[in-house]
Amino acid sequence: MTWSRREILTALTAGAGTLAVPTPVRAATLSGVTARLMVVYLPNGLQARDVVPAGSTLDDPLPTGLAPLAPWVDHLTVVSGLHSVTSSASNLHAAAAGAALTGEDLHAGSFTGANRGRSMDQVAADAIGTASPIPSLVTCSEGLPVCPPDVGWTARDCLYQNHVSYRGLDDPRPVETSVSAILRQLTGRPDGTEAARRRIALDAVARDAKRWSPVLDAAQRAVVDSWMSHLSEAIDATQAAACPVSDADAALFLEADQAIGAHMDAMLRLHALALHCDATRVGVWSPGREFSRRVLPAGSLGLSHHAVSHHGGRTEYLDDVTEITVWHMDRVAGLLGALAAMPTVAGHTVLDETLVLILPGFGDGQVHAPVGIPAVLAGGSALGLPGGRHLVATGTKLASLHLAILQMLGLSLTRFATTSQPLAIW
Amino acid sequence: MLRRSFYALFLAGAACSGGGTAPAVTSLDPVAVEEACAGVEPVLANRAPRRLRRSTLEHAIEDLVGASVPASILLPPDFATGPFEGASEGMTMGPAWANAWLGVVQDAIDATDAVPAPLARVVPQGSQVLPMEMATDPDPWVVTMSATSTRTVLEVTEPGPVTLTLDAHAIVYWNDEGTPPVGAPPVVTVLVDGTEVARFEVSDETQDGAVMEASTYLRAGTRTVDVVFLPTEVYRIATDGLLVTPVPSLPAWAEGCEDMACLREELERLVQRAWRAPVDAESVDALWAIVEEAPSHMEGLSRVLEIVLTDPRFVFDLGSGDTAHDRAATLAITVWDSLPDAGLMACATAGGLGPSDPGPCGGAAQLQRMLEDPRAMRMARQVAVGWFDLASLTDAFARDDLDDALRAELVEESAAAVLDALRNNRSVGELLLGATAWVSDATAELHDVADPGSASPSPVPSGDRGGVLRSAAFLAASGDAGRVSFPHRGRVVLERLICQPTGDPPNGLDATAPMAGDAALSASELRRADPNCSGCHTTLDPVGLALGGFDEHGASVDRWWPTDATVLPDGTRLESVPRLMVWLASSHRLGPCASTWWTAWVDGIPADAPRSCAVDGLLESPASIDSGMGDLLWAALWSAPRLTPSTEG
Repeated sequence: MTWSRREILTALTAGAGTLAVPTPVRAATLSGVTARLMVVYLPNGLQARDVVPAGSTLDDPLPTGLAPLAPWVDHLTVVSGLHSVTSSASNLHAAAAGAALTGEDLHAGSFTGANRGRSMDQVAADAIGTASPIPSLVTCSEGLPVCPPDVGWTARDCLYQNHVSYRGLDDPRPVETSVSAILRQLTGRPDGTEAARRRIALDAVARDAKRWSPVLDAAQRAVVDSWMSHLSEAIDATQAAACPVSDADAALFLEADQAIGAHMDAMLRLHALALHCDATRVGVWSPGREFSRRVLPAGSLGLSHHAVSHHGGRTEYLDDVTEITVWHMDRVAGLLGALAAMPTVAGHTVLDETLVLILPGFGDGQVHAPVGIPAVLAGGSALGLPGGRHLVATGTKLASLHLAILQMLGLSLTRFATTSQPLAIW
Repeated sequence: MLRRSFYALFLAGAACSGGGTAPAVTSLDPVAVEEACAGVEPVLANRAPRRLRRSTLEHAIEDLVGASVPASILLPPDFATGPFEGASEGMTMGPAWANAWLGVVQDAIDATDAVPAPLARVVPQGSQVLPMEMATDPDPWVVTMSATSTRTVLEVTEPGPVTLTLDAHAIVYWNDEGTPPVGAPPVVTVLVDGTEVARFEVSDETQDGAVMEASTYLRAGTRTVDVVFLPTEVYRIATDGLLVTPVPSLPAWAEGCEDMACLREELERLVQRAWRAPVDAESVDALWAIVEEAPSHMEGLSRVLEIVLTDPRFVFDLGSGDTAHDRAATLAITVWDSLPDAGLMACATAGGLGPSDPGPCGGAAQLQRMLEDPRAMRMARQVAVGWFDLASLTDAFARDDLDDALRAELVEESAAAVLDALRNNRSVGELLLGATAWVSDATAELHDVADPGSASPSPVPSGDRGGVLRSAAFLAASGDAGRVSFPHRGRVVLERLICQPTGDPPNGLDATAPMAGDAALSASELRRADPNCSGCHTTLDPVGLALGGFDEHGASVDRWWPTDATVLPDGTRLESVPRLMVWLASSHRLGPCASTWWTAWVDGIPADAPRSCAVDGLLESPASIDSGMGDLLWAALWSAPRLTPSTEG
C-alpha cells in the first residue's frame, strides 16, 4: 500500500475533527455592516511600474494598470514593496501561490505560523463566512489546473501552483471553475424542499455506509468519510442559498464559456451576486493559473502571460505585461462596479462593506521572486478603510497586510502566520 | 538497474533546458531492456481509491438509466497529474464538487424518461372504466332530460397522478318542427370525493366521438368518483364511460416490468451495476422500502436513484482489486469509460475475468468483446486526444480557422485508427507510421486521397499519408490558426510519439508561438545559433521542419528547407518525412512510449519504472515498434496491481 502524505493526514484527521487551528473570535458587528472579503489573485506576477504610483496619493495620473479602476480611486489603497516568504522550492510559481495568502512556505511541509497554513481568506471564512450558506467561494477562470507532466514538478508543486486558498497542510479549498456549477449552488431552491430531500437521501446513504464501510481499509475509509462530510456541507449550503438571478445576468452566465473574458466577467458577476445576496461573505478569484500557456486577448506579441512576464527588460514584452494587467483590471473594474451598484440593508453599497484585495504572488515576473509585491485594496469604506492612498511598505511581510485586513474585518486576531505586526492600512 | 534509469530518462527527467545539452534519442537493445527489467519488482500494492473521471460518471449515468447529462461539463475539472484524468492524486473533491455532483444527480433523475407501463398488474387498481348509464325513455324519441350521474368507489392503493379520458359525443334531438337545436353543448363533470376535478364539454360535431383528457391526482384510500352529465333540452351524450389511467410511472430502466417482483429485481440489478459489486439483501430491502413508501413508484424509484448515485460506491472506485467484480469494474472503467454491463457482471459473479481464465468469461475474451463494442470508442477518443495532443481540436475556442464539424471529424478519425489498431492488434508502427490513412469524405482532400464515399472515418491505403504521424488531425493539432510553429510540432512528435521530454524555453518564452514561412526558418536559425536556445532547438526544429510540408490544417504544401536546417546534432538528416519516420522507428522508443500511454490511461498517471517493467513482463518481448496495440492495452490492464487475481479466485 502506498500512501501520499495527504492521504495519511486525511486518514489521521478523519473522525478526529479538523486541525486544531485557533478559532478567531468574531468582533461585534459594526452598526449593522456586514463585513465581506473578496480576494483577486493575479498569477505570474504584477509589475510595480504598472500599478504603483510615484507619490503617496493616487492623484492623476494613475499608473496605467490602475486606469480601469479610476472611477473608484477614492476607494483604492495601493500598497507597495511587500514581500512574501522565500522557499527552497524549485517551482517559484508554486511557492508564490502557496505563500500568497497563507504567509507560509508550504513546501517546507510544516508550519511556524499561528494559522498553521490556513490562508487568510479561510481564516476569515471561519469567522465571518460561517454566517452564510457558503463559507467561502473559491474560483478560477481557467479550467484544468496547470501541471505540465514534462517539467519534473512534484505533486506538491502542482498542488500549490494551482491553489491559493488552504484549510491547512496539503488541504486546498477546491477551486471552482464552472460558472454553471456555482450558479446552481447560488440559486438553490429557497423553499428547502430539494435540500430536505437530499438530506433524506444522504441519511440513507450514511446509514448504509455505517454497515458496509467497516471492512474498508484506512485509505478507502478516509475517502468515504470525506465524501460524506462534503455532501453534508454541500446540502446545507444549497438549503439556504437562494440568490435571485436577473435575465441579464442569466444571459451573461449562458455566454460564460464563449470567451476568456466572458468567463471572467461571469465569474466575477457571480461573486458579486453571492456577496450581495449573502450566499457567501468570502470570495477568492483568480483569472488564471500560474505558469499557464494560455494566451490572453491582450498584448501584441501573441504570447502567454507567463511568457511575457519573463520580459528580460524588453520593451515590447513589458508593454504586453502592462496590457495584460490593464485587461485584468478591466475585469476587476466590472466587479467593483457591480458591487458599487448593490445596496445593503445598512444603507451602504456592497463595495463599501467589502474589502477587496488584489495581489499577485510575486512582483517582477522576470525574477519570479516574492519581493517588491504590490497589492491593491479597494472598497471597504464602511469597514474603515480610507482610499486614494499609496502606502510604501518596503520590507513588510504580506502577512502583516493580511493580519491588518483580518482585523479590519472584525476578527480579534493578534497574529497571522509569523507576524504580530499588522500593517497600518486604516 | 539499466532499465530503471532508462525509464527515468524516458518519462520524466532529462528535459532539455535553455543552455543544456539536448538529450540524444537513446537506442536501446530490447534484449538489454528485458534483462534490466528482470531486476525490477513490480509494484504489488493497491492503488489509492479514486473518484471516477468526469467522463466516466457521464457515461455511467447514460448506460445505467439512459439519461444524457453532460457531467463532463457540469462538474469541475480535476487536478491534472498527467495526460488523463483518473489519478487519485488529481481528483477534485470538496463541498463545491459535491454540490455540483448533486446537481448532476438531479439532472439525471429529471432526464430519466418515464415510460408507460402495464400498470394493471403493477398498480392494484389499474385502469378503470367508469360506466355512465344514461337515463333514457324506452322510446328513443322521448328523452328524459333529467340530471344523470354515476358513482364509483375506488380503492386507491397506488396514489399518484392519473389521466381522465372521456371518449364521447353528443347526440342532438331535433324538436318536432325540425328547427335547429338551441342551448349550450352538454357538459360532463368529474368529481372526486365531491370536488370537481375535471369538466368536459362534449362536442356534437362528430358522430365518431372526441377524446378528451384531463389530469388529476388520486390520493391513497377509498375515493368516490362521480361522473355527472348536466342535461340540456336537446342533447344527450353517447359514451362508454370515463377511463382512469395512472400516468406513465416507471423509469425507462424498469420498462417492461409487469409486477412488483420484477421491479424489485430490476432495482437490485441497477444497484449492483452502479456499485459494481454484489449488494446484500439488507441494502436492497432498505431501498425497496423507500419505493414502497413513496407516493408513487416513479417518485420512489427516483429517490432510490438519488441514493444510488450519491453513494460513495458509485462515485468512487473503492475496489481493492481482489475480486472478480473489481476486475469487471476496472475493465469497464478502462475500456468503456463506464460501468460493467450485464455480461461483465455475470462473468464477475461466476468468478471469471482473470487474465488466464479460459472461455467466454476469461479476461481476454471479455476484453475483445468490449473492444468490439461501440462504447470502446469512448476510450479510443480520449486516448487519441491525450496521446496525440489533439486538445486544440476539441476546444471550440482554440481553432476558429477550423469549423466544428471538421475538428470533430479529425478527432474521430484518430480515435477510429486507435480503436482499429486495438481490435486487430495492429502494431505500434503500423498505427503511427503505417500505410493506412483514416479519412472521411470531409477530410479526404486534406489527406490527398480520394473520397472514401463515407461520412464516417474509413481506412484508405495511402503510402504518403498513412499513420498517425502524417494524419491531418495530428498535423492540424500541432498547428495554429494561419500558422505552424515548427518547434512546437517537433516538440509534439518528440513528447507524444517517443516520450522524449523537451522542457520549456528559457526565460519563459512561449514555445507554442507560431511562425510562418521564411520567418520560421530564420527564427529557427537564430534559435539554433543562440547558446541559450540551441540545447533544445537543434533537435526540436529539425523534427518539426521535417514535417514542414504540411500546413496548419494538415494539408500538403510545397515547402522546402535548406538541408542543414533539418540536421540533428548527431548528423542525422531529417530532410524528408520518410527520413523522419526511419529515425523515429530506429529510436526504439515508439513501442515503449505507446506502452506508457496505455498505462497512463489505465492508471491516470504516467507509469513509473516498476510499473513499466510489470507491463513488459506480460508481453512476449518488451514493448517495441512491433508490439500489438491490443497487447499493450492488455498488458497495461493486467499488470495493474489492482487487477492481479487473488488466490481466492
